Amino acid sequence: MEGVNKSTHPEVPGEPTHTSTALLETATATIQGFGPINKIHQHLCAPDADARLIGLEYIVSEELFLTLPDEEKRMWHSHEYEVKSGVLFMPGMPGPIQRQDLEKVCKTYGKVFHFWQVDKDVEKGFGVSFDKERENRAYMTGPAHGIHPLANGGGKGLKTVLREVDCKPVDSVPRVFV
Amino acid sequence: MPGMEPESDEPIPPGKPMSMEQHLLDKGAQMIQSLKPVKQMSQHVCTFALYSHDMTRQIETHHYVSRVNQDFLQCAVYDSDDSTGRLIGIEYIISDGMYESLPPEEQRLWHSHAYEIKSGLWVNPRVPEMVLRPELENIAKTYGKFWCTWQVDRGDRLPVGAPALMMSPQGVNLGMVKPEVVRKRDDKYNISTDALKNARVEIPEPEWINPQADYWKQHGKCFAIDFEPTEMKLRAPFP
Repeated sequence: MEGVNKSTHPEVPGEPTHTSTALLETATATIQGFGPINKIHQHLCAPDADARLIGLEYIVSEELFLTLPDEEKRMWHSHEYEVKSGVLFMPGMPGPIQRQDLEKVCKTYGKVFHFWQVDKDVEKGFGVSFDKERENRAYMTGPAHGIHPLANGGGKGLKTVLREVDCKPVDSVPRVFV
Repeated sequence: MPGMEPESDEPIPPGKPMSMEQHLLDKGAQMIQSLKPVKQMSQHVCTFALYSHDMTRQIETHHYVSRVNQDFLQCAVYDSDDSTGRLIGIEYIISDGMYESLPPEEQRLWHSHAYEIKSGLWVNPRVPEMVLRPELENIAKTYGKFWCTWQVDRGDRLPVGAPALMMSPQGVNLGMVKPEVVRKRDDKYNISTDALKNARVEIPEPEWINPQADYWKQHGKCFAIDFEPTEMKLRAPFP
């Protein structure tokens, strides 16, 4: 690993977008409405315009988290450390305003799915310092009831496994060699 | 709020309405932050998907698509196109050339798009068919991988459980989308999937659809995802 941007941020293979495709998409973007997308209003650290969609995260309040079955709680993580350590930030937002929002994030739980593993050097890319911000956030508090012992995998790791199963309903699927 | 609603009318997801303060914070963030990846989204596609582990469960999907390059698209998938739409998963779409370069193990997880296009199931609401034609011809040759992370169709109030792998509609048995599911969509947009199918007759079928895609069709096998405990790799302490 050279630590150069290229190696930590590999390009997606593929031909550059054709001009005709780009034009067509300008047209569809103009004509179509984007109901749910227009609700996206906050950026919690992620990269630039040709950024890759690497996964998604759901964030819920502590109250909602506590309603989840215990088995499910293990798949969620707390945000207190992420926020207080300065690692989670909102690019471009002035510190005081950002902290007002992160005070709330600090009390929440999240469930994240990564479908594409890419790593990047964030501090350099955004010109931020986690250490400095850590001091500014020292006053924040986490979930009212403390971090739930089952959250964060209950201290254990979890992985997903893919299992091949017979299609349901089985008998209506044609087999190749029957 | 009437306060006498039965519990089954509880909104999905549950939770308190946003405070005025939160609205202001969010508005501020929206104005100051660039949100570039979101602005890259250039197409809204409405189509259908089937759960791999139970193909009788079929859902209407709303894909908000952004193009990374000519061979690669990425979509945020919602359950509806209005502002209350829930983010239910993501789909990656790649060209046939790129698909052929994947290892066979990986190819099993992808589905083809030709049938969805030719059958008229895949629509870009409000975009004239004529404008869309070149893009439809492109998409017909592509493959997609769709992970569903929130099974709202079974009434999940919150995104619980493991992600599910989704399959695309196909013109044979298990892959057929139920007519009532299609009709509901058609009524909403005042379109006819059948008419679109006829209008798309001339879109060429791909010469080759890799049999590793739509794995169930050839192999009678579907995919289920489980969570399993694992040993975590802990970082070595600083010296």
